[in-house]
Parts: sequence; structure tokens; C-alpha cells
Amino acid sequence: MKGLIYKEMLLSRRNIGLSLIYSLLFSSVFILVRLSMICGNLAYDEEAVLSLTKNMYLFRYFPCIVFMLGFANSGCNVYADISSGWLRFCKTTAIKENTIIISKMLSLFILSFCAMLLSLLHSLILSAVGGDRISFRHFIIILVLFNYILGFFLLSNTSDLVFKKKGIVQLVLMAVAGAAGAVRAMPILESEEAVSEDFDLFGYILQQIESKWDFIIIGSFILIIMGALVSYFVSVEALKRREY
Amino acid sequence: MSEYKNAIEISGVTKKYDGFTLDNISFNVPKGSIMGFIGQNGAGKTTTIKLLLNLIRKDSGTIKMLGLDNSEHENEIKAQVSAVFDELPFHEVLNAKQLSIILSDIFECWDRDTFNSYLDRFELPRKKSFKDFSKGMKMKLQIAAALSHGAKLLIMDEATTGLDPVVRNEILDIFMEYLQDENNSILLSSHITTDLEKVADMVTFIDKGKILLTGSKDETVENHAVIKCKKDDYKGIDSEDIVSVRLTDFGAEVMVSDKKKCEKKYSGLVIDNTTLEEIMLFYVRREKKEWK
Repeated sequence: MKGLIYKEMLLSRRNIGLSLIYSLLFSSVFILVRLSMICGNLAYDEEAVLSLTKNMYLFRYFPCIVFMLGFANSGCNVYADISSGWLRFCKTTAIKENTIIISKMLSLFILSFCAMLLSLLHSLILSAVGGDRISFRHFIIILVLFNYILGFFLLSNTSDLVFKKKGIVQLVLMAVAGAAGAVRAMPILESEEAVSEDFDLFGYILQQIESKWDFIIIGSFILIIMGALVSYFVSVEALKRREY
Repeated sequence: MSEYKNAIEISGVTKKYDGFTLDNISFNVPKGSIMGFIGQNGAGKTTTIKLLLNLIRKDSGTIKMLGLDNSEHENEIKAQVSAVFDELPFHEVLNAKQLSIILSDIFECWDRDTFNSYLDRFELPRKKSFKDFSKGMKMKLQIAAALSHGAKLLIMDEATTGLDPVVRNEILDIFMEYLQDENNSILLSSHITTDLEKVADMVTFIDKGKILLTGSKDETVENHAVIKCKKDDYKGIDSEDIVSVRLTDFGAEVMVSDKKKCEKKYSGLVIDNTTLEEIMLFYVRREKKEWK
């Protein structure tokens, strides 16, 4: 098992490096903007400062998402194992299917957990530089993001293995989100309130999220637990049935 | 692992695909021998190897490897078997040092020193990514990995195809060394018959999913012969003696499957020795009987 997890970590190096670079670049821009708001050009533009201050906390989530996507994406990717012939090679050895799947899932958990810890650390650094306090709620949001992204990758890897094609889960999710969004959003966008000039769509979305916050948190944990169980049993079965 | 006479025993195995059937094939690979598995592309060599390794499921028949049924004792068998394919099955961003750590976890009897000694012998760099390896280096790496966990049976699918003669010879030498231990056996699938001529003890010919011939390489080569004669003369040869006939500008070349019998029967004709390559060519065209 250790060797297989080691392999996943080695394969993740490139994506981890890239996500660290992206986050570093983003943080640099964030810090420059923050400095400008305090003592640079932006300090003289009250309207801009007001608008940026209002939305500043949202930008702190961007690096978190980059970390999680970057860490969890490539290394544990079943599709890469299929296309490289690695899975076929494993099938010629005495290694069991459940060992392969458990090692992949464990690697995904380890990498995602590292990404979450880095996200938290990153948030703390940015808040220290920006001078604004981080609430406990911020940590909860990162945990929820972690749950959803991890759940997504668990299901995505399983679908790659079952359907032998990459991106089926992404397509299904986009279709479902698009359809649900259209059904929910169209009546709102057509309402009198939405047509008015001062309608804040982003604020409205946040308000909707806020109103379903408990459901979103519980849903994220259900997704992780169900995702892990479904992913394990379906993947092991798919590996056993798979022909090469 | 029980005592066994044949490293591989395939009996009445059938696998049907749309457009291709591996049809009731049977052959054995005796322990301590190299079996050359010969056939043109698409003849069914890779399908047979996949069935041996349980990469695909057979429709009927039985397969025994190292004395055990390959479905019932899959993991026990696979711990003692190494398979080498024509493509490197490892991620190209890895290097040999990292691969050794990974494989030590997969194979219980992984021997890091043996692997390193093969790397040195093949002059393979330890820290260079596989993406920078040549085809020959990739094949040597696969063979190094295959021989570093005490496997009793080596299954090679077109492993020497596409390699230059120097590398091919180097690999064939390694096989001969591997067979110094009489418990070790090799199934070597290839359509490069010259390689098999050098190292194989046994040969099995497969064509269109059917086994045409199987047995000792020397006997197979000795039993077959080519009768060279005029186009009109070959009509006098019994059709039951003929595998097929190649018509050339100068006459006819007739492949016969019982040299001794034909030497007596057609004493007036020139009967030449033949090679595995010629045997394959004549057998593949046996349905046409006459070909150019």
C-alpha cells in the first residue's frame, strides 16, 4: 500500500507545484491591492475601497479552491492509470483490486487534507496582511469546500473507471447545475426586482446560500460518506470486471 | 506451489469476439523451456496471453499455470509470473529509483539489488524519467523489473519487436541466463522468427485463432522441408504431403511436413532444409495452396 500511495504522491507533484505558484501569484496581487487601499492610489478612491472591502473576503476562497483542485486532480486520476497501462500491469501482478482502490482513495484524502490545511494557513496569512479578522465561519466554509471537491473527485475517478472516458461526471454535474439554475433563476431574473438597476445578483446568490446553509453543510458530509462508499464498492467491482 | 511438469497447460480454450475467434486452442509449455509463440499480427497471440493472465475471460477451456488453475489460484500464480508487453506500463514521469520503491510494495519477493544490477548491466539511468528513454531502454527496464521478483514464468508479448539487433541479442542472452535455473520457463510471443530460432526449445504456430503446429523447435524444423522443382513437377507430389506451394519465376517451392517420408517418396527432387520463417509463411498461406 505504501508504495502505491508513494506513486500517487509522485504523480501529483506537478499539479501541487502549479497550484502553489498560482496561489502565490494570486496572493501577491491580493497583498498589492490591500497595500494600495491603505497607502496607494486606491486609498484616495473611497467608492473603490468600499466595494473592494465589501467583497475582499470572497477572494480568500479562490486560492483554497486552486489548492484543492490542484492537489486532488492529477495524482489519483484513474484515467492516467488506464492510459499509461499501469492498471493492466497491476492486473498481471498479485495485487488485489481493493488494495489499488484503497490506496487511491487514501492518497486523495491525504492530498485533499493537505490542501485544506494549506488553504487555512493561506487564509490566516492573508488576513494578517490585510488586517481583517477571520471568523470561525470561514474555516467551516473551507471545510465544506473541501468536502464537495473531494466528493466530486471520488465520483469522477469512479466514473472514469466505469465508463472508460474522462469527464462524464463533470458533464452530468454541469447539465444538472445548468438545468436547476435555469429553473430557479429564470423566474427571479424575469421579476421586476431583477430588472431594476440596483439589483445585486451576487448578493442574491449569497443570500440564497445563506438561507440553505445548514442543508449545504450536512449535504457536504453526506456527499463525502456516500461518495467514499459508492466509489469504493463500484470501483473495486469495475476493476474486477474490467478486461484489458 | 505444487510440483508440475508444464509451466503452462492450455486445453480447449475458446474466446469469441466479433470478427475473431480463438478457436479451441491447446498447447503446453514444459517447465524449464522457452516456448516461441509464432504467428502473424492478428493471429491470436496477444489474446492467448491475455487469457493466460486473466486480463480477459475465456468462453471455455482450461488454463493451468505452474500446475494451478489460473482462475481459481489467480493471485498465487501471479506472484510467480512476470509479463512483459511491447509498451511500457509505467507512468512516464517516474524514474527507475522511484519504480523500485513502488514495485517493492507490489511484489513480496522484490529484490532491489537484483533490479539495480540489471539497471547497471543495461546501463539504464536511475534518475532519468522514462519519457526520455528510448524504446530499447524501456524494454530493458521492463525486463529488469520482470526478473527482479523471483518469477518462475516469464510471459513476453512481442517484447523484442521494434528493437535493434544489438538490444535484441542482449535480451535473448538474458533469457538464456534466466533459464539456467531449470524451474524457470518463458513464453515468448513474436513474429520475428530469427529470435526464436536462436533461443526457443519449443514452438507453437498460431494463425487466425487456431493452433497449426506445436512441439519441439528442432523437430519442427527437421520434419519440414522445401522441395524445389519445376512448376509441372509439383503436380506429381501428393496433396496430402503439401502444406502449400510458392510459385516463382523459376519454378515451384513446395513445403512438405514430413521430410523423411518425402525424401524416400520423391528421391528425384531437390529437398532443402527450411527455417521457422518459411514454415510460418507456408502455413499462413496453406488455404490458398498455391501462392506467389
